Amino acid sequence: MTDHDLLIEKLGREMQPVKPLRSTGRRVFTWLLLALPCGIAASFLVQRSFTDWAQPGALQAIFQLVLAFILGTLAIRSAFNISIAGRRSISWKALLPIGLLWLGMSISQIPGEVPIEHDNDSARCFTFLLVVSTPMMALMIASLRRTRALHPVRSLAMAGLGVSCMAVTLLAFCHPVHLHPLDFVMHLAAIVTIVALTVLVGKRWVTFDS
Amino acid sequence: MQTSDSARESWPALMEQAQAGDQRAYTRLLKALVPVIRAQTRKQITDNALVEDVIQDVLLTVHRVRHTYDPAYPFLPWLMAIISARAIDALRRRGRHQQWEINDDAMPEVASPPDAPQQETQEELAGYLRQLPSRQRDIVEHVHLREMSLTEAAAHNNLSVAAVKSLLHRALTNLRRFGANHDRS
Repeated sequence: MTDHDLLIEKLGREMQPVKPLRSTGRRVFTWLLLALPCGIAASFLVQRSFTDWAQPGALQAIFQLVLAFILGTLAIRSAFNISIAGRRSISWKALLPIGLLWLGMSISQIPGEVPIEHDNDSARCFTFLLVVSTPMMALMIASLRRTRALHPVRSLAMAGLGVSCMAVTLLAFCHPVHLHPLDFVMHLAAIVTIVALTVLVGKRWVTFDS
Repeated sequence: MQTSDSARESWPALMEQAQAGDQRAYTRLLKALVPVIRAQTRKQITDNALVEDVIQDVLLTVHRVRHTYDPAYPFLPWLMAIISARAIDALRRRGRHQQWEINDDAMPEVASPPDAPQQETQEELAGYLRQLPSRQRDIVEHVHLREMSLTEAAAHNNLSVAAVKSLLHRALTNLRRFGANHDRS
C-alpha cells in the first residue's frame, strides 16, 4: 500500500459529515446582518453628532453613502469568492470605477475657495472608522476562517476594503455633508489602515496551515 | 492511468455523498483523484519527490475544505484551483529552502565557528532529542530541522495538523524541561 493510500484510508476513517457552505449571496447577507449592527453598536463608543440632512449637498452625500455601501458589498462578496477554490470573483478592476466615482465625489464635497470652519474633527473621524470597523473585521476574519483561503492576502485585502467601505457608510450618518481636506486625508488613511490591519491580523487565521 | 470521462462525471456525486458522511464514497473519490493530481502537478513541477509531497498536500487540503465544494458547480475547476495553489506553495517553500542552502554554501570559511564547539552543540542537541518519545522526536526533526510545514509534517507522519501541533508543543515543553535540568546540574 502506498503512502497516498495510507493517507486516504486515514482521512476516510477520520471523515465526518460536513455541512456544505451556503451560497455566497446568503453568506454576504448574513455577514451584513451581523456586522452592521455590531458596527453601529461600536459607533456609540465614539461621540459624534448626527448628519444634518437639511444642508445643501445632502443629496450628493446620500449618493456617496450608497456608492460606499455597494462597493463594500461587492468587495465582501468578492472576498468570499476568492477564498473558495475555483470560484470566479469580481476583479478589482471592476470595482475601480465605483471607487473612483466615490473618490471624485468626496473631492467635489471639499469647498474650494471658501475656507470652512473646522473643529479639528479629523482625528475623531479616523478613530470612528477604526472603532466601527473592528467588530466587522473580526466577523469577516471568522467567516473566512470557516472556508480558509486559497489566496489569503488577496481575500483579506478585498475583505478589508469591504469592511472599510461599510465603516465609511456608517460614518456618513454622523459627519458634516461638506468635507474638510484634512478629513478627506484622514478618511483615506483610515481605509488604508483597515485594509492593512485586516491582512496582517487575518493572515494567520485563514491560511490552510493555520 | 487515464481517467475516463464517465468516471469524472461521478466525482460531484461522490463528493456530495462524502459531504453527507459516506466514507466509502470519499475514499473512492480520493483514490480516483490521485492520478489526476499527479498529472496536473507534473505540469508545474518536475521533481518527482516534490510532486508526491504536493499530492499529499492536495489530499489534505481537499479533506479540510471539502465543505466548500458546491455540487451545483463543476468539480474539476475546484480541484484544479487547489492543485495549482498547493503546487505554487510547494515551489515557494522549496525556493526559500534552496536560497538558505545557497547562502550557507556562500558563507566564507572564516565565518564558520570552530568545529569542536559546533560538534559539541550538535551532540548536546542529539542527546536532548534522544530523550524525547519517538513520535515527538520525529515531529521536531521534520518541522524544526528539516523545515517542513505543519501540513507536510502531518502528511509525512500520517497525522492530522492538529496532532502535529500538539506533539510539537509537548516536545518543546519536554525540551525546555531537559534544558532547565541540564542548567541546574
